[in-house]
Amino acid sequence: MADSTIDSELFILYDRLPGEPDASLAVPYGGFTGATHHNVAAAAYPIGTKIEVYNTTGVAGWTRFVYGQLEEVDGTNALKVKMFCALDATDLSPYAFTNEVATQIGESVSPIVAGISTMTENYFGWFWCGGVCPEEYVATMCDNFYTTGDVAIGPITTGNLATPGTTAGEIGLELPNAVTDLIIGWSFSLDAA
Amino acid sequence: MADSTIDSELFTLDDRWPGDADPGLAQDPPRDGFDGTDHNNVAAAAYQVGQKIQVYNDGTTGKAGWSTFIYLQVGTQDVTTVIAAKSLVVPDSNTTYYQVTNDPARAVCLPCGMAAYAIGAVTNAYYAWFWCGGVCPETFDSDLAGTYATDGNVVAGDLTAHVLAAGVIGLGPRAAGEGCIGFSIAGDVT
Repeated sequence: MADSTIDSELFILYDRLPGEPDASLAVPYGGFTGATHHNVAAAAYPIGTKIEVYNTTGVAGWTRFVYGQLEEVDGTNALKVKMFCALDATDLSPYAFTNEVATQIGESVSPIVAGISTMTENYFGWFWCGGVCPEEYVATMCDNFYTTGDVAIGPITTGNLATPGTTAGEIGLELPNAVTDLIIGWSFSLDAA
Repeated sequence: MADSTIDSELFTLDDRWPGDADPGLAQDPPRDGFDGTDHNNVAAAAYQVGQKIQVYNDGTTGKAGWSTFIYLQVGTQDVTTVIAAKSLVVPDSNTTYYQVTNDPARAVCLPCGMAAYAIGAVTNAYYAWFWCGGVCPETFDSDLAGTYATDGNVVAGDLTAHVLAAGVIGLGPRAAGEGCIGFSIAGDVT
């Protein structure tokens, strides 16, 4: 099936990564994409730190960011905002991500996060990991996210895009194909296929 | 398939027990650690049952990340294989969710979607801390390092609590209709 897209306001992510948000943490200095802590070579927060904030642009509701490492980045389809990432099969940490099919732990078996900007390989930064799309906090996260073209109303998992690209990335949302697929979110609509 | 094992650093637990961790207790952790004798494996509960504490495993031992402990009561454990560190326990009672057992014959439901790991020996009817969420808290209890029993079928993906061929409760891949207690980042050692 051909890849497709779904609007940012039509699905939510389930946070499957260890840990609860730290209620004492506010929005980081300069926002989640602030240069002192996002896309940096040395971690500015303990990896796995989560911040939950209330989003009012797009769909109102709670949204979560997690601080992790971009362990691998695809050489052709470099990470950009709205590209999905899965857990990396080399580092095997629950907070080490890759946007590359070849280095993920497997299709439909990984928790998911979404990049909030371009990032350098091995650098640390914030990723969207749960709740509604945080458009209030990262304006460029609005509009379409990529799917494998079969997303329906109901649970969603990760899927390898049929046509990876510099905009789409390599990993998208997908309708679960097997009962063992790891559920990483919920769609309120069909994708645009 | 023969039973197998998976390393403590290759899976995480989803906390499926009621309630969130108490942020206040994270600042005032149990005296002498989670296995302190004032509160762990004690006849009278030193904390409310179901109480949770989230801690940060700093990665000096095991994987860095968040871990959650829960305070539970052992119901009746397996007389042959008694509860020890790394024993997987599940509810022992249809009416009291926080009473747990490691005995497959007594478990309310297997495969089970609520499970936790013991951090040491616990006497029947006694109260203790169990690892119920996140990465393995090896920094806080070195007895939890090493391997954990599986059914030999674990691959990356969701996990559930199964009966193993050895007659104990361990990890297995989630199948249709089964509850989920966490996810594996890799396969077990077959």
